[in-house]
Amino acid sequence: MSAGGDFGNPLRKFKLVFLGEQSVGKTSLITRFMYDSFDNTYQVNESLFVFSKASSLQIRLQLWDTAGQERFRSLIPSYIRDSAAAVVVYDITNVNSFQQTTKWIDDVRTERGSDVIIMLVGNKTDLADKRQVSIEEGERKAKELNVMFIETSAKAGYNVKQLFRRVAAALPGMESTQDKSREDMIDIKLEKPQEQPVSEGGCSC
Amino acid sequence: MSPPQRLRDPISPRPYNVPSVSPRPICPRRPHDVPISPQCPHGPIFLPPATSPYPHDVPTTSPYPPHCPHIPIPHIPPFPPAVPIPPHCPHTPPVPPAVPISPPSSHPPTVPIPHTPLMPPTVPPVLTPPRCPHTPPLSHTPYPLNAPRCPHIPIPHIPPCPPAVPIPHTPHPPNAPCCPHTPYPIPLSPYPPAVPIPHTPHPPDAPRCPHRALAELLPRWLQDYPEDFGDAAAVGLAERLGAVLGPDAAVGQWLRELRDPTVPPDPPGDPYGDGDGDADPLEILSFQAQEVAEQLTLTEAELFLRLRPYECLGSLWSQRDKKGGHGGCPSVRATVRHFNRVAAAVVTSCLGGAGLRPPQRARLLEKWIRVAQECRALRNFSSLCAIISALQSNPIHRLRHSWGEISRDAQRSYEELSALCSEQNNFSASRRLLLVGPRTHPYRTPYPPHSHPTATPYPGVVPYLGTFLRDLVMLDAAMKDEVEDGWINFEKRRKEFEVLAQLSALQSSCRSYRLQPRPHFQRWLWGLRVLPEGHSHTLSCAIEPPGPPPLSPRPPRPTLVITHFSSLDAPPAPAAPPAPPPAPSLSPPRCHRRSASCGAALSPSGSDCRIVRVRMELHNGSLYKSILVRITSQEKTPAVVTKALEKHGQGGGSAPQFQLVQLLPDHRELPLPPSANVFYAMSGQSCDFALRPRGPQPQ
Repeated sequence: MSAGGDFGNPLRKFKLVFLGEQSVGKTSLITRFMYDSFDNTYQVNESLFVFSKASSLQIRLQLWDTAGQERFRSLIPSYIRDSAAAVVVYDITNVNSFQQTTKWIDDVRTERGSDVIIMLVGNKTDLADKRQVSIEEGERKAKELNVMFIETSAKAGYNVKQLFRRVAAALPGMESTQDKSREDMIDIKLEKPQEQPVSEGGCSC
Repeated sequence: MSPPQRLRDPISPRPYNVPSVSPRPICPRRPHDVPISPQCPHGPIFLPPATSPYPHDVPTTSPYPPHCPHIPIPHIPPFPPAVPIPPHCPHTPPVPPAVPISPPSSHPPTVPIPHTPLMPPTVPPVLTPPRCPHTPPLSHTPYPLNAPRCPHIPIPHIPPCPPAVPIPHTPHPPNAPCCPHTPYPIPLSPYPPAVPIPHTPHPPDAPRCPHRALAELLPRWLQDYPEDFGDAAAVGLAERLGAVLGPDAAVGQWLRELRDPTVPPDPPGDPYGDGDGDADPLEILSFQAQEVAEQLTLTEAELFLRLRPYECLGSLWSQRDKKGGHGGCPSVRATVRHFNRVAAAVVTSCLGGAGLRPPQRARLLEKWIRVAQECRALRNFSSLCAIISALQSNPIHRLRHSWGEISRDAQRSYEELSALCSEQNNFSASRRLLLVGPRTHPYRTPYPPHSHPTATPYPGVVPYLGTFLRDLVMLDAAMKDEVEDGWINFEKRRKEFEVLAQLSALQSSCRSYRLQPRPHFQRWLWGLRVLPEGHSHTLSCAIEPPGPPPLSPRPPRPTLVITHFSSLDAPPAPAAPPAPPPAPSLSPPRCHRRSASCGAALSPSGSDCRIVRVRMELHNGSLYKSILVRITSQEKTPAVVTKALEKHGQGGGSAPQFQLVQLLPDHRELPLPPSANVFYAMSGQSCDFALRPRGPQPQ
């Protein structure tokens, strides 16, 4: 374990954990962000769910997904531990998933205190006709809990890249580079880059 | 076209020398005879010579309908190939050997003459006999009118065979549903079963009776995949299947369950209610670790055996399709519930006894670590993960004083088991162990089971289900159900099946456990109070008030940034990129607060030893200090490095990984090779040294 590599030019590595109720689209956000599909990476014995996407410029993001294990309650803290950022996702067509975000954010605060970036994400904006949680409600809650907020649609690829950019930009040590090279901060290769940035919720961090 | 009259005369008076042909119908080889057999295409081709013995002319007043006279062709010497042509219904070209071919003489009354009233169906004799005789003659016919008239093509229009016809040779009983013509569950067929049966050309004792295969397949299907028949709409189907399959005991059992699908089997593991809270959390200490592990495994194995793998599918478990539905996947829920129950028991018992001192509480932690070890030995990864995750949960994890009191062995086991349960690399550690056999129990050695001196190997296995649930949820999220144009995405199904098949294989292994229930423990487990999450945190804070940020139980691995002594009072920015050490200043340690003996120590205290400062900065910047090391004239560099590392609390074992460097004025450094005697090699200009990892230099 020669520490020489890190000693010379350490690549900043941040752990992002995705939290939220079942079926809100956490995994879809990740798959949409990473490869647009899971196909090529599905190998049981490889590191499938810990995505390490190294940017040639700045940081490396490790995305941790709790998919399928939301109900194994005691496991969640080990996911949250050591994470630099938590993405708490709810489904805008499901009020219950929105109410549960309070609990998830509490879990993060319990485990990490204030030493963590939290992003509240309202997913599935493509199902606008079934919307049960307005964007204002989401923004209000984000302000109350002092977290960032964005609405996305993993299915349509809407705001997904933006979500990761904003989380990365808020990570510690990124302030100085936030303005000058925001576009280069994460080397994302989205297959459908036609997403158009939209009005984002208030970022209170 | 030849006039018919011209042809009739030479032929009609001739007697036919074959006895059976005398009542023969009209010969088709006389196609020119329009009024008699206007459709026969064979005339021009096979018109027999005038010397032919054919008995062609049958009066139109014959009692037999006009019929192809080619059937008796076998009897005609010039056309031997026509012999094997069966003189019966052309639906079954290959004649079953059992069919008794009637002698030619008996043909007229028995041959299904009515089937071919107009057109001779037979093949020209030169053609291969087994082929369908329908088409070849048509190609030969010079009369276009004949072509569409072949009665063989519209088979359904053939009137039903008379019962006297010997064609249905099948010995099927009249009710036998063996006819392959019927679609598979006969009762599902809208047709009365009697209709298709007469057509069956089954040879007797058909070895591949589809009904028999169905009777074997269906019970298996019902048994393995009852969900396919389970919904309410299929109840009628189940009854109809019961009618088909008969009063088979196993099938009847499954069908009964199908008819009453609303009564799920009792989920095990909760026989004593949901915890009334009267159990003593500290009673865990009275149980043997192995006993606890066995009882946990017993329940887990039972739950896992009851698991229906298809309920793990991502589309079902993640409730993709049913919003707010909480009734699905009962078998998965039961497993998850038990997992959470075990984790809650660990938390409750470790937080029990508010007045316990840290060493006493450490015994609770050690007990659960031992139980986790036994679960590992039993290959019960589900309980193992539940216990370890509970120990890692915040209320327990933060009890630093208690953790500080556990034994070194327990600490080491805990770390190993934590690595096993880690989701690092997608649970690669536990996945590997699922596949290897239960031969070695490396975690068992520190705590040999006292109660069972003859420890038997445990071939069973219970996996942690979350691994598979995650695989399936990720698969479901990543792949679409259908590819373009609505085709089923078989790639997704195949991958899902692989995971489910793995689960099924593990279920088979799971049957190998031989454990006996101990009601006493089960009562205790299910009698424990489940602390709400907030409550457990409050309780934990009451046991150990929140203090300064906890130190990691393990010393952090140094990545060694060696800085200069004088920078001690101005702490560098944490986690700053490791720059080369700033200009070393050899000014006296003005503000060194660490040691009152500092000044004295720095002065050479003897002729054969010197005291120097060796600095190292740990990776996270929180441990950042220099220590004083006495160097004697007998020590070479590795010994000094070892001594310095020990004083830094890092243990001397990693000494070869570090290099000792003397920091000289003007940014100069003097690396000391391992062979050097530091006492003599060092420069007298400085007492400041640094430990630096070997490998690439920062510059």
